[in-house]
Amino acid sequence: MFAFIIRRILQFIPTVIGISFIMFVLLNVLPGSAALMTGGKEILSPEIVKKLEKKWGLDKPFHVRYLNYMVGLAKGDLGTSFIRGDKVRDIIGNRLWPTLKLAVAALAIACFIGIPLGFYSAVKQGTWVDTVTMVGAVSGVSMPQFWSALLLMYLFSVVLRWLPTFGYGNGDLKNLILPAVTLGIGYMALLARTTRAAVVEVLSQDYIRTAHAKGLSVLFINGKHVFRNTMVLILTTIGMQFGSLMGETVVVETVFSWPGIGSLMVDSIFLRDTPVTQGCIMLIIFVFMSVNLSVDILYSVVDPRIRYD
Amino acid sequence: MTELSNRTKRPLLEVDHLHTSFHTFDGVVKAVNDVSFAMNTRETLGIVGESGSGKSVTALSIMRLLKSPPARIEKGRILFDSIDLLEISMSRMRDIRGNRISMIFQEPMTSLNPLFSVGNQMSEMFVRHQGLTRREAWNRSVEMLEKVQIPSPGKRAREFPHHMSGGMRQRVMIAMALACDPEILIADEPTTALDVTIQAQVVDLMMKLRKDYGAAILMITHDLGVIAEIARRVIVMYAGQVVEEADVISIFEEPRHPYTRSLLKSIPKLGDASTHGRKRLQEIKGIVPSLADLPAGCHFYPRCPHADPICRQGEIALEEPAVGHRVRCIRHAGL
Amino acid sequence: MKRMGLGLVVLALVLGFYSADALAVRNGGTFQWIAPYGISIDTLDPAATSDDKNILVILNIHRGLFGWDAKNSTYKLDLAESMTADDDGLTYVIKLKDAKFHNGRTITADDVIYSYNRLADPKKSFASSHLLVEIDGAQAYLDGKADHISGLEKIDDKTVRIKFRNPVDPGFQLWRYGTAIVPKEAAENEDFGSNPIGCGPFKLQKWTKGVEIVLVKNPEFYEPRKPYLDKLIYKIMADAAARDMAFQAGELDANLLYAAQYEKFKNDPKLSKHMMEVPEMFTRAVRFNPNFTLADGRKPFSDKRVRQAVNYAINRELIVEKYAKGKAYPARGFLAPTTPGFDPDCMSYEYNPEKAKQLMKEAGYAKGFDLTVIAGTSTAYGAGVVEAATPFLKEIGIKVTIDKMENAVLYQKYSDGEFDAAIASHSSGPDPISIMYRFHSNSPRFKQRGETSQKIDSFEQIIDLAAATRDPAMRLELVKIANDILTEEAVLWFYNYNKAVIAYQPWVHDMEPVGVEMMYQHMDNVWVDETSPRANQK
Repeated sequence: MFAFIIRRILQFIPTVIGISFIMFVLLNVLPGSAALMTGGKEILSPEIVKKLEKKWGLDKPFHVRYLNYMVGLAKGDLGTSFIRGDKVRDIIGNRLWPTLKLAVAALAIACFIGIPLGFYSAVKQGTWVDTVTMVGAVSGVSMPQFWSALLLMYLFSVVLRWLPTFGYGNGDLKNLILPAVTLGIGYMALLARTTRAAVVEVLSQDYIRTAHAKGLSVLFINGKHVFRNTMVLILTTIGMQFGSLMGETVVVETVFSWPGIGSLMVDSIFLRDTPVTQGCIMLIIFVFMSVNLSVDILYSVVDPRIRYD
Repeated sequence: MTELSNRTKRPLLEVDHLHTSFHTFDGVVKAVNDVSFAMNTRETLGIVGESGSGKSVTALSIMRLLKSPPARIEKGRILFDSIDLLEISMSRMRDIRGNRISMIFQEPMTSLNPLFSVGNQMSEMFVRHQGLTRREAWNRSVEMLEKVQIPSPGKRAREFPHHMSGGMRQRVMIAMALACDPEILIADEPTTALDVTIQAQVVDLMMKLRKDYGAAILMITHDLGVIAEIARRVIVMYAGQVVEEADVISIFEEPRHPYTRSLLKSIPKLGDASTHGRKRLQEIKGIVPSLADLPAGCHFYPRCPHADPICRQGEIALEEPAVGHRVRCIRHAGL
Repeated sequence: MKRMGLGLVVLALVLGFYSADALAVRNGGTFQWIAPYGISIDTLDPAATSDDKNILVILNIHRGLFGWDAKNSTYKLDLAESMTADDDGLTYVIKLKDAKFHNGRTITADDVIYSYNRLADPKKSFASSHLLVEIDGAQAYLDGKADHISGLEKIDDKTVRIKFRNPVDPGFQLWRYGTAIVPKEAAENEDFGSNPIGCGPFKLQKWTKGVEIVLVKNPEFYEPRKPYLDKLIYKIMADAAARDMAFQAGELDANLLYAAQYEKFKNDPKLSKHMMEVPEMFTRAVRFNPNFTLADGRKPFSDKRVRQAVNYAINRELIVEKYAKGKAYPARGFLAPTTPGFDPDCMSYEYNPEKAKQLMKEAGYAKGFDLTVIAGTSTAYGAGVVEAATPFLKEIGIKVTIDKMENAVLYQKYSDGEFDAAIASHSSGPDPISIMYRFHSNSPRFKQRGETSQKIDSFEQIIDLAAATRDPAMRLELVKIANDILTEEAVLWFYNYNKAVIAYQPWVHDMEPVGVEMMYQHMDNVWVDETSPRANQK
């Protein structure tokens, strides 16, 4: 197992090199210039643009810039933001924790509500409970985040005044609730559906019939035999969702003024602040790979048939 | 003979006019249609029939393991030790399952949960029905594995199902079924999915254990060879009905129903692999009628070599031409 | 030497305004304000940005020699105590007020010279460096041909002399917030953009990146009694709908409205009482590329009649009313109503499709032509507007295709002149002469790609004359004429001026509409009364 983890971590390196190259090429061919974007609504004069580009090293040829970037990356240096002038590491570092907090909270909401809901729905398959839950789940998936955010905001902040409408506060829980719920709804619905499908599948397995034939109680069977068998599928979903969650927080972050990676990345793309964009992508790739690795390790814990040698 | 003397007493299990059907979008499928039989303590009763004859559904009805919906037990009683299994609460039923009546299934490869060790799954029986601690239950599980002739049972108990062969798993299933010393063991095609040599071993094991444990066995199979080896009395089912019932010698020596005869015509010698399995049943011309749309009169009529228009007039009753030999054919006397 | 009249008038007005309100104003309280443009404030270093999203905070931390007087729509003296002009019309002597930086150090003439040299430092390539180009020797320093700005001279600790290369109005050159005076001891630090020290009414207390900027009162601010607020918090909120919610929930003291909310606020008798609107000095317009060539080699936009036809053909009033939901003022020409020199009686184009068709015919384009317009994503001046205009242009035979693109791409194409026609928002103030100079064939912009179809000699004569004129009233008269010439020449399709709208809570007092950019709110004037939920919050 240890060797497997080491091997997988080593595999990160070619992935990072490959993705960084593709990323570099794509961001390079993207039309537009960060220099022009510093002017705000004013179109800056060509001399200023040229000067800024020289200052940022954009006058150097592609391969030189790529090599410089990779050398920096190897040293753990993500470069300096064009527009903000700060180290990319610091900019991202400031936003990493809020994003992780948001993603984990959203996922926790999704798990603690979505999994039991899907489970219950599968057990009550075909009843009105099942129908209501699944209709809810479909609407949850299809509701645009923007819309659910505003609905929640209106209800809990404007009408009831229980929670603040926006902002990170000082990292208070009350600030986290609405963004996390908004982000969590979609994943909750997805998880409920995945869980339901997995449970329905497991319930029809022979070993569940065996368990019933053994005289075990329904609660025991569901809690032990069914749950453990659905875990692999649920874990896969959770793992994939968490990876994408990191990049999909942009709408929620914008609406709730949450200082996360998603909005930073989108903003930096629009501003052509390439070092920041690259840093965000690198971070998301890193989180994605780490989560995948953790999920793979968890697989082998859950399912004895999966072994890594 | 013990079986004969026991018949005078109240039977251990009495299936009485059981009707089980499936309510599907295509209509009502009458899978079990007025099945009655009885079973005594320590008796081995065989049920034979093709796929779809209703033998498995009968067994699952006894265990109340059918999923409802779509399955529904429409009518009838199942008396076990004077308890009507169809009337009692589900929680009482769960006390009986695995404890007093246990069941093993056709598919040993999938009948065990792949994510838990064999010992863990066996221990559940002892914890559930005998209130043992986990440690005690584990030790008992290892003992049971030894009883079903699994080598180094202490080590095997810690293994997972995927580490074991099909035969080994079926032994585990048998060990699990016998764990709580049940009065009835229902074995639904326990050998069908196994290799021929393993089949023989499993059958031998079951016969040996029957002696040691004294459980009555309801052996469900389409394999007349297995029946011949293990059963004392045989029920032949066709299209959801009992078509013939007799002791095993009578069935093989003087079958009275045309269907039983057709079955026997193709009987191979035990262990003759080339004609094993379903292949010989296909030698009966035609196919089993749809249970959703049964022909009037005799259900075997369309395939019967002795069919006569009279066979289609009204329900055919189960007659008892000889003591302990019942048959559902109006022309049996003339054949 | 002669005192600048305008500065005094402004000063008097400003002081009068203060004294009138002096009885009512209340000190204290916290103001929750917004930074609505984008998801972050990038820098608080005034030199490093010309982006409004940063400037709206910067202007409350930093101050320069001049500032903007929103009420009179002109510049005012700020750190400058007085300004006297030499007879040559190029040199000005500026005396500084008694003022201190947030670190307690008194501001001297050296700080002015340092700040301007820092801004123009060629090694630093600051985004605002172009603001100084009119100072003598600044261009040479910017280009690396000199080692400092030669036009700056210290007379004594409190006095500097600034020499300009042209006879310009110094205030219009130097009121921009990029020219703020900064202390060398702080500005040399790498992280000055994150830890700024200025001399404005508020100082930075805490900046949570991407979340909020907390400013606190600078008790040593050089204007007596000000600022009134104890604390000023900028919440970074890019989403208009979310801001609206927060405003309704009372979490914001004021809010910048977008078209969707404007309708609601305007029609609500209660909400509309606490609302202010102003035409901003942004003229939304379609720019015509004179080099746009048809398959037969003709260049339609080089013909004035075609450009005029476009201006007659489109019903801009209708588009403003229906598409922009009334949150704009139909354009009457290039200069905005708040820009000095705007003439309410100026010539303009009415909606007259018949005349448009007639002009197209006269120009030889009776059958029209196909045209691709590039447009950004803005709802106020992007693809949607062109879409609304398309049916009108079809009436005169111009078949429009819209090429919608992201702003970064649009800016690039716009800057490179790679378009046939492009819609954008153009600054149209506050100094009418310098802003109109882009249509002059001597301007770098004109030289780069050609801002109009051709050199407009009459316009150039008038604008040159205006620039050389030192009597303010006369200057503005010439500006009006120059603006009329641009209108008559139809250098752009004039669409609208932005109507910027701020709604504020009933407890908020003395916010002002600012035509140059509504979010340039000088918060040292603002105060809140007892009814504010944050009236006593420190």
